[in-house]
Amino acid sequence: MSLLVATDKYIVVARELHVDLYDYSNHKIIDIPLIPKQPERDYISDIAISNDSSYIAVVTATSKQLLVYDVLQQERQQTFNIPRSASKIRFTVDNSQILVADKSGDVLIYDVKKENSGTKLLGHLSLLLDVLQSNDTKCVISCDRDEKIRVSCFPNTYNIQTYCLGHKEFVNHIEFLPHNDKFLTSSSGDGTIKIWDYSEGRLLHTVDTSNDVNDDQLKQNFINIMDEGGIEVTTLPIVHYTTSKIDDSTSVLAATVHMFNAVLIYTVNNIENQFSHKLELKLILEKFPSAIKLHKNALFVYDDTECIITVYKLEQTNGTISVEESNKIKMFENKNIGKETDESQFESIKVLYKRKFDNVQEYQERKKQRLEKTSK
Amino acid sequence: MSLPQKKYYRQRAHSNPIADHCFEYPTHPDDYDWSILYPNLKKDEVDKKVEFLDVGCGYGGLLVTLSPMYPENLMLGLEIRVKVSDYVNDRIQALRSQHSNQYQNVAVLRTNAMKYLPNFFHKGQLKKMFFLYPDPHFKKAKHKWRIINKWLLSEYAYVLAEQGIVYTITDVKDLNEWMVFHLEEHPLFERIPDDELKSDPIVEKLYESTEEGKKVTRNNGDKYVAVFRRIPDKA
Repeated sequence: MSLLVATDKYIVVARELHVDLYDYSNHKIIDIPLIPKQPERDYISDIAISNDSSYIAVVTATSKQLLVYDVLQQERQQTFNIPRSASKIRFTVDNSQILVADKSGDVLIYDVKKENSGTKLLGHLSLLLDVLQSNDTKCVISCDRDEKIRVSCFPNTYNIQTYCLGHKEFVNHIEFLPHNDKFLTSSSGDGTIKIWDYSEGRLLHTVDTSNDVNDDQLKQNFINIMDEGGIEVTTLPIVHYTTSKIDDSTSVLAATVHMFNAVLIYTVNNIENQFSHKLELKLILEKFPSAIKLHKNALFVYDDTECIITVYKLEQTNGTISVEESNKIKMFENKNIGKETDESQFESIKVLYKRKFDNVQEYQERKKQRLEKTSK
Repeated sequence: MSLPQKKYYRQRAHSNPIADHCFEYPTHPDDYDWSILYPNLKKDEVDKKVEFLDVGCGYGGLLVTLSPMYPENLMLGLEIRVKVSDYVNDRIQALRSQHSNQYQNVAVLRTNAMKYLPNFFHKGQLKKMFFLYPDPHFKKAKHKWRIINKWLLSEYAYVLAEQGIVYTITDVKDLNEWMVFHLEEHPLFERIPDDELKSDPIVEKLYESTEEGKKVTRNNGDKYVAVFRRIPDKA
């Protein structure tokens, strides 16, 4: 796993049990204390920074700890033991709480200031992949491996407002549309980005990345290798997804597609519920990135074999977006840490698909034989 | 067409509801073609939506009982076990062929109600939900598999219309207490007092309609009924 977040003040990358906190001039390394006697190698599975840049939270995969750091003091503020492996953590809008979406399907909430806090808000019967609170704080939105996006009222999460249904595979990222947070965007293993009126659960627009990848060989390889594992796929899944606002009527959505060495950069406009999108650029990369992140007009692309962030600047001129490489940032300098392999990236995406096994057809066959026998 | 014989459809009572089974389900309720399940509806009825849902319908006894009582309402049984749901389907097909213009309003679907209700039903679509003799999952570690729990009740509240009714019955006292506890705790449900239930003709059918209910009677077992109403959110 490899993770990257960015705000006006910081770029933060997590790797194994280390965090590099870069304030655009200096690096500070935070080492997460190793909990002894873990059955498997521990690592940071997600990282979040509060909207005001005052806290960083990380969650560990094996020791299942949620750690909150005060950024200015560089001190650990809280350590929570979470019940199950988390797939995603996010700060609430007011930065006072942390939402944890876990692999058993639960969303929990922890109070940054309160020791031993932590209550369950809601549960899906499916592995969760992302969670988000609406800016008006009235909804918590969660998405899962079963193609679902659930919109729950907040704090009364027992009341489900609606579902956003339309994806054909796991939904791995959800973000509000940056230029109008009345709308939600989502990315999926079905290769699409969808735009929703999330309070009504209405699908308004679909961006299908398969139209823009055009690499049949890559797609066929993926279909074949998944087929060997008994999994039926038809298209390449979206892996990374990030959004930013260009102006009051335009957002930029950037995505990577499994093993396709490029970032697809789209702009999206709308007149009320009528959306249109445009592929601005396929930003070709030397290799598949470990993480991407848009912040304002900057795109950060992280490659963890060299621990380098490449920074690109997005410029809008005459209605089109141009992308210029601006600089590179070396992370974890003088720190000897391991590398993520293509293999582990593949494994982490593979588990999100459901294996097909048919226990109905065999039964129907036997029934048919029985009926033929008795009719004789 | 003759009624199916149960001996060919027996299956163990338990199924793991959390495992990945191979289920066909629509992406969105609008995508589902209900005319496959209800093929002979009259012209003015084709827009009707399912309003009664029997979750874990077993061999379909309740559906068959309610079908002539509520000919105007579409009813669906959900059953996760392959053979048992096939039995119910064969039973309905046979009844339809033996009684013309009857049993057209009942159908069965093999799916996992714990996972896929929002794929089949719109918000507030259902008027009645039935949980008759659900699997008690006695072991504490399996309590999360119980069809009624705090978290699943939110999904049931979502598909139920306000004022919609949840019927439960079980012969297991501990499970009755569990269901009552969770339904009473949930802010979107309130219990309907026993004296109000006398005017509901469905309630007496809960005891004897199903195969499970008849078995309990044969064994002189107790039966515990609890009925709840879906209420608006006060928050």
